[in-house]
Amino acid sequence: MNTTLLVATTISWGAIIALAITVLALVRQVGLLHERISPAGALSIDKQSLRAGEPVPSFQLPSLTGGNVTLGADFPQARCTLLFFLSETCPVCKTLLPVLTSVAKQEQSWLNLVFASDGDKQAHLDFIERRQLQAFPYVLSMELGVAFEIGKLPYGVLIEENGKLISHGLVNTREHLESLIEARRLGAPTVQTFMAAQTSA
Amino acid sequence: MLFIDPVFEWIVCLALALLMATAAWQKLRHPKMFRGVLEQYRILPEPVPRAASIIIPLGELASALALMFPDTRDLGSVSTAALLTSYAFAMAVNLVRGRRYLDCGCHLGSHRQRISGFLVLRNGLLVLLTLSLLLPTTPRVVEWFDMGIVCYGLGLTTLLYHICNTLDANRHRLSALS
Repeated sequence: MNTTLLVATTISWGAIIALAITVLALVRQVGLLHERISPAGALSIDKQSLRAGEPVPSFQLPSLTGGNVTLGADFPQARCTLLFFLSETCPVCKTLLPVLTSVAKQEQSWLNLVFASDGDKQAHLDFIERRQLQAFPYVLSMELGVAFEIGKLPYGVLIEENGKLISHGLVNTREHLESLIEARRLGAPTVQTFMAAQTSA
Repeated sequence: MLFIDPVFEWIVCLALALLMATAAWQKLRHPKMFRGVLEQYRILPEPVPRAASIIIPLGELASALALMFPDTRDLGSVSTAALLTSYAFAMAVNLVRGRRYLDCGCHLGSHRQRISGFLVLRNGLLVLLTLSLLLPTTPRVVEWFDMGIVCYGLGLTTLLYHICNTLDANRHRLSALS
């Protein structure tokens, strides 16, 4: 009888320990999932002057890499424009540059990438040299940043060929950038509008 | 007169010694991070965190060692209780100040966990457990099977402790999403 009890107890201990290990593993996985799903899309910061579907202010600016950059309803383009606001000192901008250039190459049939910033011209020329951005238009203009109400960097603004705004938002990861591009494909500026359109249809 | 069973005493003191030793090991491995956490708590005046970042882990290590031996167990349980109470106090003060976003410093070098009421409560329970070691044990013969129970109890408490901590960390991650 004693031996039976002993064996039974030992087996149940083993089972409880195994279950506890399983629960711990599950709990850790849940934590990992929470972490992975956190940045779902580019955070659009509400702007007074910018609404999806409405034309953006027109600009004609000289590019540091040569030529002129035109924006807005007054200058219809052959391709969409991704206006990417960055600073030569912001670390997130630097880590995003390879992603941006690779996306721009992949989507070059319809997308034109334009970098925008302001500040010291020489510092930006050095930055272009260091990061090998000579292939892309790069404009320096305080007015541009003010017109698009850019408060936080890096910020992406996607503009249609006819100068209308498609989507805009803070871009911290590749997923954020893709969410801006996805907005054009779905014809909805945010996931929320897309979901609302789906349920009402 | 209250008595505790020797098996219970062994489980509690080994589990606490393990807790204190791992805490000290983490703090000694990441002294700069620990100093940062101490400064963030804003309890100790400016030059103190530098010295405290060395003294606290050494205190934890000494408490862990003291808990392991029957002769020094009472001393070890008092110092462990004092350390745990001071952590609970530091967290409670910052929760009252509204600085809920602080990292508790429980997992130096790996992930962040914000301070919370749960952690204060957890430390409170740990202090009660620690102080229970001061009670006399029931005089009885400890058999070989009791040692098996001690190993089992130690394994299970360690696992449950980690599960509770991870669940609390998950709660914050989840609330950050909504």
